[in-house]
Amino acid sequence: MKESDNKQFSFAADLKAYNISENAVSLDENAKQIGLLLDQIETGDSKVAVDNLASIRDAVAESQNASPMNRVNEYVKLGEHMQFLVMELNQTENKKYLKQMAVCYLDIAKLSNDDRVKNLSFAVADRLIEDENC
Amino acid sequence: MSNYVWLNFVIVFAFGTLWGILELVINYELRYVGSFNRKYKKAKEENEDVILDKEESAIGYIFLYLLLNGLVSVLAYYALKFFSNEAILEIDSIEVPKLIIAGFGGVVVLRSSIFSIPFNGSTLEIGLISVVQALLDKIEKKIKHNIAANRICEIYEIVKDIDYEVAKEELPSLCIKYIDGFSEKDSKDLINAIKEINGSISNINKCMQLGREIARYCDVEILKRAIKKVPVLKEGKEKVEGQGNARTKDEFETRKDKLLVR
Repeated sequence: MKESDNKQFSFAADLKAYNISENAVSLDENAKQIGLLLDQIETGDSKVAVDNLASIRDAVAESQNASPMNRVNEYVKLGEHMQFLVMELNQTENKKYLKQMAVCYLDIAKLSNDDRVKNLSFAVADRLIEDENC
Repeated sequence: MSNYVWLNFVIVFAFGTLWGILELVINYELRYVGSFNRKYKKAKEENEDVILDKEESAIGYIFLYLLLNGLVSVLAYYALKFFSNEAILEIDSIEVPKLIIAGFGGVVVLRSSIFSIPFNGSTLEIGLISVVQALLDKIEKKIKHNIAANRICEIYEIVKDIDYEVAKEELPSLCIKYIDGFSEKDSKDLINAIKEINGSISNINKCMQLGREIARYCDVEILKRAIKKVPVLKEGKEKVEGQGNARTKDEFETRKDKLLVR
């Protein structure tokens, strides 16, 4: 890798880290909100759903103490597990909370300005919107 | 009085003026003066309420400075003739050697001081140099104002349609790709400058400040092309009625609306 490429990478990463740390308070609030909404979810007998709920809780807790770049990785994990959860749970009573979680996750995606988080948030939101239309 | 009299005076005047033009071109970015005047004229024609003020134009001071240069060269030529006991009005050829001596003499006289005195912690030059310096300082100040006014207009036109929240990360990292000598220090300085753009100021204000900071490192043309080539900076935004340009609806908000409505 050329020196100029290194500088470019460092600049982009530094700028991204700064933007995330600048939005840390709002990001934490949204993550906490997701954590609170998890308590309302009825998992029934689904072991997959229970595991995903636990993983989301872990990701929420981890994200709050992580460095900016690790924070994004935790949000990616959170999104992946949310995606599984949305696919696994389709009971009517859970939809309301899942939608609120998706809204919070969209806010996280917007504030973190990361493509991976953005794509996951859109996938989760689109899945819930599609389910509603069916 | 023959035509040669006029011709010699015109040539020596032109010599002094040319020297002054050369000095201004070397020291100052004169292109901004012309650009400022064009923008001022256009704004006046379109009856726009703009920040451009005719008083800020450097043109008047530049003319005054060039006139002074020309006149001193003419005076030097006159003095040369006078002290050589030659008749001023009886010239029948172009006196090239005398014109060159007078031209250079004028330039030297105009830029020299007889003596200097200490004044308020600095040195005050006594001689025509003080007049020249005062004029040059005024021109420099006006040109700097012209440059600033030009930049505001230029940057505004480039960034007026972009969303700061998207642009603050996309735009700097894209633009610096095209700067060869972008150092580690520049990187830190630019990030610190972006950190300063904060608070509850409007979207356009933030975008203009961001544009200005990036333009310190790269050509404005790069900035313009980068914004043109990156649709995400402008696309996906539909204006929310009644909220003006500051707030726009993007892909995130569209999805949020759909989720919350049902």
